[in-house]
Amino acid sequence: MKKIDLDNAWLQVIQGKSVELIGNRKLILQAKLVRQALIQQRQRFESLKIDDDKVLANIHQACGTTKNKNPIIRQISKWVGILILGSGVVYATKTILHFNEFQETKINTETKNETVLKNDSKGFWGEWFDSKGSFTGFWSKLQLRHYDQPINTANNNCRPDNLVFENCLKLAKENNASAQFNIALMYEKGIQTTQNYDKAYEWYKKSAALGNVEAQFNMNFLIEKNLVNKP
Amino acid sequence: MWQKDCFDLIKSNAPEDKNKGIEILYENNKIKFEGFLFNRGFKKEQIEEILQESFIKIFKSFNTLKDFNTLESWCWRILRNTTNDYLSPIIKGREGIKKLESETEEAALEDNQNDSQSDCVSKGLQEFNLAEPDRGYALQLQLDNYPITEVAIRIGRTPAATKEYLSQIRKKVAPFIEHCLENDE
Repeated sequence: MKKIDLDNAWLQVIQGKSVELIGNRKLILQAKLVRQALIQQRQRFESLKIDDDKVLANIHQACGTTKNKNPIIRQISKWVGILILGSGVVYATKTILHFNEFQETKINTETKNETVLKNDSKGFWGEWFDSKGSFTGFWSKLQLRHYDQPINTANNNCRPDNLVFENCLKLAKENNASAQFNIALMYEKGIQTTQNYDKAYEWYKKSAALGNVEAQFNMNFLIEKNLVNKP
Repeated sequence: MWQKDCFDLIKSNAPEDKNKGIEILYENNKIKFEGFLFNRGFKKEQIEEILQESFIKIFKSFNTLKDFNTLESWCWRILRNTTNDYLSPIIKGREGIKKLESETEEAALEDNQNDSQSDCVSKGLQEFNLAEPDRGYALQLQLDNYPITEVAIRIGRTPAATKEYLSQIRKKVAPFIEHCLENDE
């Protein structure tokens, strides 16, 4: 047998393979003993407890990176981060947001509106026939139901499409939050009146006190921009 | 293929990706590296130290790596260099090697009285590992029948050279264990 074959056979025994080498008992024994020693060596290595966490932490420290946390901590950190970022964004927007659009004023219909009931006929004939004598059955009654709702007929001149300073002022004095916002914006911009930030601030403040969020933002805007001398 | 994922993640600019890449690389190599170092006779603390130093070098010079296909052999090269630096006469004044050698000799003397044949071979193999660390490690890899290409990467040789290298192991290890078999003639 060639020498190279002996070497390969020896390695095969190390690998745990069964090899027949007639006349080479010593060689086989040697290989088996080496294999046994290698296995012992492997077992000693496996019993060695390398502190991988410590090593990895040191590597991260030296490289300026951070060790990845476990998923639960990562999730909590993520949500805490989102909350902090979110509150930061809210704070930031709160100080810089400004509303430039006039608001739709809603007038209290119970006290201020003149209402007309369209279907005001009474009695049997009034119930089933209209004033022209036409039959008003079930479906017709359904179609007419909205006639029974009060309709606002007040002359509202404090709407974005129909804005009159005096009218808005009148409504604002009656504690209408939207009208107060509108009058404040008119003071701020100098629309239909002279520009007056202090008065604008006062009206925004009153409107905000009635729960108008936009007024709160605009009030903060005036303070942030140092347009009024308020704390 | 962890090499590509790892390569892309470490090259990424996002810190979270970089962290993940580092951990993937560490997880995929730690046992192999630890085995390599253990086979060279290093103690636990020394293994941790060299392992740490090697990975720091790997990450700090990662920008020089251009192709993920060479990632593994590149890491092994750094490990071998770091190990050599650790034992370098300039850095350690040969203290490392001497210390390891003396410790092995002491251990051999202590156990000499109840030395059986297998223990004798085990000691011989330890001495062989110190004298021929790459061959010792290649021999250890034979237990798991690693392919030539894998062994080649780990010992930093070409596959052809590794084949020849392996075939010489029997002859090289013989002087270290022959005396254990003399009574068996």
